[in-house]
Amino acid sequence: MRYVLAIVALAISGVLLLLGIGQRTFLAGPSEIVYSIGATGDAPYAVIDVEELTKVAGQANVVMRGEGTFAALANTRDAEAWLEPFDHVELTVDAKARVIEATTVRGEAPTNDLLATDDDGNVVPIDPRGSDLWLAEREGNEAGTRMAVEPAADQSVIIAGTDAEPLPKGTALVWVQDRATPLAGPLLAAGGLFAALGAVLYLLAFDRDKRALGPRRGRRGPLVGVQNVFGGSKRRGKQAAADAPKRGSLENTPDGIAGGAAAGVLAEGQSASTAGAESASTAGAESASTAGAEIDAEAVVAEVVVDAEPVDGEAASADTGTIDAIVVEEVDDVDDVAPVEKVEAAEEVAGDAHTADDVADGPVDGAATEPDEDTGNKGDGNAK
Amino acid sequence: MRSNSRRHTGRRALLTGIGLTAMLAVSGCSANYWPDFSGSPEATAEAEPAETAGLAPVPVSEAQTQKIIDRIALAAAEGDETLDAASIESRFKGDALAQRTANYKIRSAVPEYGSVPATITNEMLGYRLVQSTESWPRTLFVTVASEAGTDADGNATDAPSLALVLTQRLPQAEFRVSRVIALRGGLEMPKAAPAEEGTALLSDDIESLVLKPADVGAAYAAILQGGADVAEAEPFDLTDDPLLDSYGKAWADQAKEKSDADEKTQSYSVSVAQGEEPIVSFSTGAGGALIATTVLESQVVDSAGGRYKPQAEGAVSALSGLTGQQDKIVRQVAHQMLFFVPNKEDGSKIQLLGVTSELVGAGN
Repeated sequence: MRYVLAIVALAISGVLLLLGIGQRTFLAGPSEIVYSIGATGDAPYAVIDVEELTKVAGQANVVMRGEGTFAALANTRDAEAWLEPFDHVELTVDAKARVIEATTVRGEAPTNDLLATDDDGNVVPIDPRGSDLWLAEREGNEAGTRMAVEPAADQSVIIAGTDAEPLPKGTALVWVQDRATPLAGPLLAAGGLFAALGAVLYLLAFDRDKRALGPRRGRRGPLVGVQNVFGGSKRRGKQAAADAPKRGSLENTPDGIAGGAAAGVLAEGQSASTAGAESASTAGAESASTAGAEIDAEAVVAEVVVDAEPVDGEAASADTGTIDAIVVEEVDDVDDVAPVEKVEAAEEVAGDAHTADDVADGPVDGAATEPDEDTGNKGDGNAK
Repeated sequence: MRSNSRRHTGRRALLTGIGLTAMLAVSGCSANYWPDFSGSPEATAEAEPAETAGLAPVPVSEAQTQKIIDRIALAAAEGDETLDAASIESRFKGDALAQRTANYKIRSAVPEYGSVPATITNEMLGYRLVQSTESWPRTLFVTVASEAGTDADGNATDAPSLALVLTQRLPQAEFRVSRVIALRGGLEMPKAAPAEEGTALLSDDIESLVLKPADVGAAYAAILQGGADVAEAEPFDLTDDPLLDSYGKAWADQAKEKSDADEKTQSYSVSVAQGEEPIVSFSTGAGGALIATTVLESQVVDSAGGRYKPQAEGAVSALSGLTGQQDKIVRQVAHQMLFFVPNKEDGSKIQLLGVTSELVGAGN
């Protein structure tokens, strides 16, 4: 029960942190909303009332992509008057369908001599750049240019392509979203506080829980329970280590396997001798083959078990040279007396494994044993 | 084993806590993460004054006017520099274009010609009138500063304030300067309604003014031709009039005197009439109107059958192509003028606010 408070605090902190982080990441909306205008018609001009831009929240921008694209802000009255003789599209924003709808408006025949008409009687589009009517104007480039548009009454944006070309595909309306998440900070802070609180509560609960473990006296200072756990564990750990049987001791090793291992070693020695490899190994092998009680030789054999471990099945006779060489090197370290019994035990089994091929299995099992250590202590148990 | 796992959990929680705290400390730097307690800024004023129902719309804002003036100043500067009328054609028309075209022509042929048009700068002065209209043409009255330059002899030229009359004929057309009038120094411009409220253009035959706009130029032409004593001079305030001493009748008299002194037999006459370019009348919105018009003065030098014949040279040659002795030479001077005409009940007199005179033609 003591842990409940800590768990609740940690759970709350988790939720708060998740919300706080989420506000900046997966819960955050898109940084901008983009509606494409390009390819909404083949008219060279498009016009959109600034009021339309307020249908979507955010800071509205007209994005022009392509050399020669152009956008201008004008009073709606002026924009309409300027566009009147020309074919153009009127854009409206459909916030539900998330698209821009275009209505094509045919130009009215001009009543003056200023504008030229082509053979079909249509007015030749003119360049809108530099007209005195525009309140603000901006030209696009390949990289894309933005014109920010503040919502204002009775204003419109005229967008034009290059010359009489339709609007290029990259032209779009973009609403930059407000990325401020005023709750993220407080949520993260609160989450952090709860996490700290939960940690402290957990520590206290843990401390109380473990107070009974240690001796009632002799311990002082804060968090006695924790000290019990962490301080006591060291001591207990040492004791346990001392009590526990040594890894790889014969006590843990089935007799058969140990014997087999020894036999394998013996066989190895024999095969080595027959191979007639190096002199040192030969010496070892000879002593083994004579089956005498010569201590040195037995020690060598016992040692072979250790070193043969990695050789595994395929070791066979070819590798024995190496193995024996190692044996020679380590002979000095071996306890003088201990191996004797073991080797004798191995000799009992030796009859089974006379050929080098059979030997291959023996050392593998013997891997479990570490004769150099335990033979000193317990070896006599197996001695004949 | 149980204590072991708990110990691990505890450590993990601690590490997590430390990590999160560090993260918080870092993230706390971003203002985006925290509520803004500084309070939202007060609603900013609308960029364009909102049009309330019933008031006539003002089609051109001050910023737009500035942009237009920038472009005009740029075009004028280029024209004044290159003496090429083609570079100002897109921005000038009417009498303003005629003035500069003639001046450029003369100065191209006669570099030492003394008359240099006042530089049009893009520095707007406070006085500005905007015709309130929803359609076209649209007309503006803007005053700008001039810049003292140097004429061909290196003498500093005057830098009077300039009044520009601008007209946009069609939505697709540009605003073009139809008149450039150098304002007289020492005079105060009449009170006018603020440009933000807009003003009206008056028709030529409106009756509420001391003189109908259509008649102002004609009356002044009569004064110029007949002198300050003619009947038409009655409604005008002719104190320190800048033209009467050197143009019109005064010019004819002086030329005659000089000719007589030289014992020449040439005859001098002058005929003055209002120009054909449309008159532009702005209501000041404060009891009166600003009327911009042009008066054309033809100065005639006639040999009158005598031995002495007038020489066509300099500016006259540049404009007319005539050279040498001629029986008769007619020089045409255009006076672009700006008058303030008060309302009838106001009782004050018509004032000449400014004038730009330029030799615009010659012939015989």
